[in-house]
Amino acid sequence: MHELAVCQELVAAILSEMRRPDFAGAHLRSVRVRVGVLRQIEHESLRFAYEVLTQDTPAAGSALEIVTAPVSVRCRVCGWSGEIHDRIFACPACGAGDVEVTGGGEVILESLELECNGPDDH
Amino acid sequence: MGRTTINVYRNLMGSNEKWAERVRRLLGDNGLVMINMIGSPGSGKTTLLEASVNALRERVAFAVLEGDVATLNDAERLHRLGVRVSQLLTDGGCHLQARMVYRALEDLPLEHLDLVIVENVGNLVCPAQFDIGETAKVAVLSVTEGEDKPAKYPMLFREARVVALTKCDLVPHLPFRMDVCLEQIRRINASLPVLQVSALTGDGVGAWIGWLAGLVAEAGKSPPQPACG
Repeated sequence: MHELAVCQELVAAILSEMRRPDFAGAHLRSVRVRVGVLRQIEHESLRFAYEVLTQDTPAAGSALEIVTAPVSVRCRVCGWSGEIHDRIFACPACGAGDVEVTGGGEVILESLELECNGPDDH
Repeated sequence: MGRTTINVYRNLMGSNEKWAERVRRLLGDNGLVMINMIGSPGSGKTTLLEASVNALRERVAFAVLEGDVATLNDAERLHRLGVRVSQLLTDGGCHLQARMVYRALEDLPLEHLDLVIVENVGNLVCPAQFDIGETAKVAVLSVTEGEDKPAKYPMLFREARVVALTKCDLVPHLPFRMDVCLEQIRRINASLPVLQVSALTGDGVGAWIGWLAGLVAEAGKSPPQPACG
């Protein structure tokens, strides 16, 4: 249910970007967010929250694209770094458990896709 | 008509993190330690606190912030034991956020305290996602929940500084395999200490209190007296 809290931040961030003067008159087509798997964000809940929270805002009707970021770690013993997929937080190279999590916890608004009115339309 | 993609790269946990940073500054300015207890509903968070307060208050001055979806029940349980406790009601919200905790801290006599214990809303997922500016997260896991929970909720067990494994007096009556549970925790976080406790019999409660007092001592405010069992 933390999807709602995350989505409130997302919509606030989108609307604040859209208030910038260079966005004037542009129509928001889609939004891309990157969500680390450690955040345990349920995509359908996030989409539902997005639909509800963008209603009656300039972001209404825009598509939400969710990109999943895997867990990545760096081994403090042998220096190996890369992705892990099985929720065992150990170095696949040397087996050490002393690993630093370097990815998979992020929740980032990556980009906005806008449809702009060209000069000919004015 | 043209389409343009604007790269933003904005951290969506950022505004909570700003409040968490304010909490950390407030704690730091007052030489305070704060723990964030996270566990399922019914895992025994409040019961562990009830079993701890008498011995704990001999070692450190503490207050409790009780996070709940509804009701004052848990705060009242601790209040009856003479604990300074504030209730944070999320009114349906599934976790505490740093801003709520900051506001609650402002109402406490911080200069007279060594330790603030936050009992988060009972939930293994959402509270682990929101930094509230704590010094340390405590994962509270009861043996009745089954040994697979660390693997299901890795974020909490990655972030926690200690696990309080509660209701250990029930182990003989359950199909719970302690070795499997400890191995699961080790796979998620190899250096995470596990304190096996029973609030009912008092077993392990001394070690839990010792761990809390040690955390306070680490912060350099009130050096604990030598452990006395």
